Amino acid sequence: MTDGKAYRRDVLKAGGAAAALGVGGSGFLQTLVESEGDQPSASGIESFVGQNDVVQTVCSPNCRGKCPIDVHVRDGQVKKIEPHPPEDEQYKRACVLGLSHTQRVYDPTRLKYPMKRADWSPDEPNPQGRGPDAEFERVSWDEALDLVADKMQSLKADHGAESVLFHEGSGNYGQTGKSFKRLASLFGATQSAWGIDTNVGRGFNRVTGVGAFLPPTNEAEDWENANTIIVWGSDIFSSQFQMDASKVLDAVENGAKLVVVDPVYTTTASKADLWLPVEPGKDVHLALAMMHTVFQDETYDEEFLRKRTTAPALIRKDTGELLEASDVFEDAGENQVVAVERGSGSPVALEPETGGPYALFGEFTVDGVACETALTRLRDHVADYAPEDVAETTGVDAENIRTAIRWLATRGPGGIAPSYAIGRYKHGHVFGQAYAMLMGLTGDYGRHGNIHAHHSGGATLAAGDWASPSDADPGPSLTFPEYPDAMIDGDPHKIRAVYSIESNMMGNQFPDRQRFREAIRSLEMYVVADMHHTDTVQHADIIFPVPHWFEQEDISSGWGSHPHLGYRHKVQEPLWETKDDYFAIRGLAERFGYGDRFPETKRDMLRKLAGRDDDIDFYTLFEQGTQKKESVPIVKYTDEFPTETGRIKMYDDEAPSEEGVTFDVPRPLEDRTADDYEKADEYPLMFMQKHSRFRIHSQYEMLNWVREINPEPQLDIHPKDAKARGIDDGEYVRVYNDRGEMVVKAKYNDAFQPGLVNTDQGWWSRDFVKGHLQDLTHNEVSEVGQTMAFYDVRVAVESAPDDVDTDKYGSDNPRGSSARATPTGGD
Amino acid sequence: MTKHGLVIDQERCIGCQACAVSCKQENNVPMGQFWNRVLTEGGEKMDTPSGGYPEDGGSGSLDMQYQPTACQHCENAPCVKVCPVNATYTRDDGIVEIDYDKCIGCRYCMAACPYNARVFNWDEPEHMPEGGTGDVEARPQGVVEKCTFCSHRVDEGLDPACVVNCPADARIFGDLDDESSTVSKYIDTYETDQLLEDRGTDPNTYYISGEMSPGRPQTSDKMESELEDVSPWSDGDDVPSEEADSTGAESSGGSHSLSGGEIPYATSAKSGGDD
Amino acid sequence: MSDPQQPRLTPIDEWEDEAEAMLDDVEYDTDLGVQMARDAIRVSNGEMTDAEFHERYHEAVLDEFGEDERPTKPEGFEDD
Repeated sequence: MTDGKAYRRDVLKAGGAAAALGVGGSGFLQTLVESEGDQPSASGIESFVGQNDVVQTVCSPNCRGKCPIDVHVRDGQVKKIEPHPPEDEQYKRACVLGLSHTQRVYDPTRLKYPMKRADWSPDEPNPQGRGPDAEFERVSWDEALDLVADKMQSLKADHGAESVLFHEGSGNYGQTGKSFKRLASLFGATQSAWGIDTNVGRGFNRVTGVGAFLPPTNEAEDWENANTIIVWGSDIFSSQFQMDASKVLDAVENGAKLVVVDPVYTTTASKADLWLPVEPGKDVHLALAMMHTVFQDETYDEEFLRKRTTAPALIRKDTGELLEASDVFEDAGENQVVAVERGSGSPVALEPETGGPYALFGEFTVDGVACETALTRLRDHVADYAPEDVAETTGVDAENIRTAIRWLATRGPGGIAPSYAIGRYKHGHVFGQAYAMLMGLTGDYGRHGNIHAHHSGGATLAAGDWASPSDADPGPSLTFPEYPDAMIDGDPHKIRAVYSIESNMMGNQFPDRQRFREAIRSLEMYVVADMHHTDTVQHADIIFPVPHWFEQEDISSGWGSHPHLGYRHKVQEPLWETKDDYFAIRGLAERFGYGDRFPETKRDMLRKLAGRDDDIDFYTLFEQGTQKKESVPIVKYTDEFPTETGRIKMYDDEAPSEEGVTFDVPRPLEDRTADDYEKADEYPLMFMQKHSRFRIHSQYEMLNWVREINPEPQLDIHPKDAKARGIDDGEYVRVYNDRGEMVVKAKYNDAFQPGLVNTDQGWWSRDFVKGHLQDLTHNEVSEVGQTMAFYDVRVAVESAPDDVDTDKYGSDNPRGSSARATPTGGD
Repeated sequence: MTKHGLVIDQERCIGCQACAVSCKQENNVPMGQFWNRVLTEGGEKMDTPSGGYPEDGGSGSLDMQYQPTACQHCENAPCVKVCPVNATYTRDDGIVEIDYDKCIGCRYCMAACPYNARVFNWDEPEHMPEGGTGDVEARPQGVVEKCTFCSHRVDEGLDPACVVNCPADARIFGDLDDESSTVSKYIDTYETDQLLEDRGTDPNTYYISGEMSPGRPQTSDKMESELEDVSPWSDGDDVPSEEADSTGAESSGGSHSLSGGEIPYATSAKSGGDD
Repeated sequence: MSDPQQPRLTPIDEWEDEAEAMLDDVEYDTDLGVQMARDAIRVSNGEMTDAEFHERYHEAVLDEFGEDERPTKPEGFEDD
């Protein structure tokens, strides 16, 4: 059984007479005729099994699921969702959200028509009219596109194309973004550069030469071969569970030890063999203590260190730089470093992927220059971080630190699987560096059973230069954290208009929300394309209504997920006047005079892009619904590392510095978690915003079924912290700091470390009794990390004032605010 | 004879609520009602543990587990015995079902059910979207309803929706009367409990707790009995033998994608911080 | 609504209150329902036979519902 279609027909004993659902009668469309069992059953209830039209498509948020699904349609209505096994069936997956699309497709928050803010015009934008009280009027698509194109062109003429920002979020996993960027490139607009969740990968990249978000890791099918998995700062079973959970469980069932490092006793921690309840911000201390243990136990992988790392490379004691082979040998290649052979003591230039009898430790003099090996330097660096030395700082029992790393170092292949959480602390990149080196010590690269991140690599479509054609003159890029200064103060250059797709960031998901609102209010035009009336949309001047994923065809990549591409077939025609982003992009391109650079239909565009990827055949993908990309390696890091030396850097003599600290070796650096942080007394509680299983970023907020389970924002707080403030369980509390406040319901939760509180992310402003969790977060980033530090935030908590109106969660409305249709997403 | 039963591996269950929601979807369960709830065994509230946060940096006493709970399809079902109009009845295949045409809404069955598995349509049932969802007709106001093991699917050779949609492979459905079925083998091999065993209801729902099972990795939505090429463990390959259990972490190897010898499987560490 | 978390499985000593609450708003006899529920568990437990259970409540069920279609009816049991 290799084909989903086959088993379905087989089960139902009847093939499909093709029905028209707005798409052709291709193989993906299965019409299931009535089976023999469609009579009312003994219970008197009619069964509809076998009567649905079934369309295979893909669920498409940025959740690392990229789940191929079957959508069942009956009487012209989406009736249910089921997982559809992809070409490689072991990657079958789905989750509570993807299974609930019936709650989303018809939700009243869906946008229906192109709109214009009533008091906006190109010449008089009335920026203060944006926000909760904004009113909108219907316009035609032509009017909307004309308004946007004319304004962009006049801004380009007056202020340069870079005064227009094309902002793309991650809310729609398809190929449209590439055409969005293509248009931006041709126009010369400023383009967005990612500033979320890029911290840990950046640090990892300094060591290995790879990693942007999280580093690549073996595909999930290999995880069952791990003998030890240290899940670090990730609730993988809660936020990453689409099917990766089953693979981690398979490893555990096979005998793997599961270690969880987390300040929270998470669902994942509840399944662990060992839980290390680390204090927020102390992860680097902990990693260094683990290195200390490996050195003390001498359980490092000598062969790996000699062959694939710069552990044996010599560091000049006079300059702190690595001794270069060209200083020692006349015929040495560029970027080669030098080791010393044991016994002979003679220097030798290190080649990538080449072992030898190199001394790992010791001091040597080469050509009169006093040197020591990189591994000696690292060992000396971690000498002060014995488990006992860090136990108090990290809050973790010393013996448990040893046990965890001993499992990884001695039980065969395994790895460390962090999430993005540690990167949500300002200097989180140091952890990326630290654990990359720790896994270098244990030799956990390039083997079956290695794991380097809590989501696997997956497959993407290689579309070449589509997004940035060679004849274009693309504008500058701006990282997310740079937006407000650019919009408000013109630093580094003034942004006057924004065109935003696939994103509820600026109104909901970006930190320091009030500052971003101010930024939005300094624009002359804010164009937002979305499926729903989000907080961001409520701030727009021009609204492009986008259809639900089931109403747009696309090619979904399995990035960060699984090694397939998926064809997102349309299940139904776009409702109301909604139109695919590609329609607007091409419409603008035509108005700018680049129409001929964009294929006429979306399918033509998709076919063209797929044609650029040799590993994918458009028609196979189209017909099968998914195609496994065979070129995706299951095991990663089997080849030479893309560093200067071709080896993992166990010492970095060109390391960046920030705040007076240089990262030649991993050095702990903290911001608000530091014990001596100046406002620690004023705002004594650290505040995180976990990913929960009930939303993907701010998507799916409106699912009625899910809201019955998870009705409203809460503050997870340890009972001790709550009682110290006179706060009862279930009482509404005011959470505040010097940026803002929110009012939510307190939830006593012993899983949370005293001193740490949490509100799950993704709630819209309409869900809060008052304020918003992003009113508390800040937009300060580290020089090296350049990543928004959502969790590096301090707050104070007190009982909510008596006059706070909590009626929306009154007992007469148990489903929460979404139960009765709230017409708009504004607050 | 056939006796349908369900095994839920609580070691695998991650409390993700996919079963709760897909049950609601498949069975057109009205707003405000759940036939299948994922209970947290631990603290008082959902997703909270019992015990105290470790003060000393150790692993502490916190504990949490999930218990998906729906109609247990009892062999000695008290709900069946109290129904004055015989609306609740046991099918030949062990499924406890309600004839909604007969149900008069007296709710005696709800009082008799020790598992709180039944819900009552006090008002006109509300569905979102209005036309309802899934593959069965909605029930009217004034009747009791509950999990049917998706009998409408079972009758077509398909596993119940909650089983097919579990991303943790934690639910296994099958024939308890067939000794070679996976449910039978898992009940034989692993430590299982029935809920409230002391009441003698003898549920056909079993919970694995303690040692984790390999779960239900099959990718089809067919029932095991309907599969042409039987599932990989049905010949016993993947069910750990008694010997394998006693030696600890030695992998069964059967499901590994590698040839032997490439991975040095260490014996399990004896001590371990589980204090 | 059926709260997704509560109520849990009810300890036996709290069960009766819960059962009463469950039957409170129904037009049928609450006491009879609670008693039958309790005894139905006794039947499951083996403390009482189906026949005993059937006979004990036959009259009351007929009075209350005008019929008694319970499957516990013993062989040869006369309906009235």
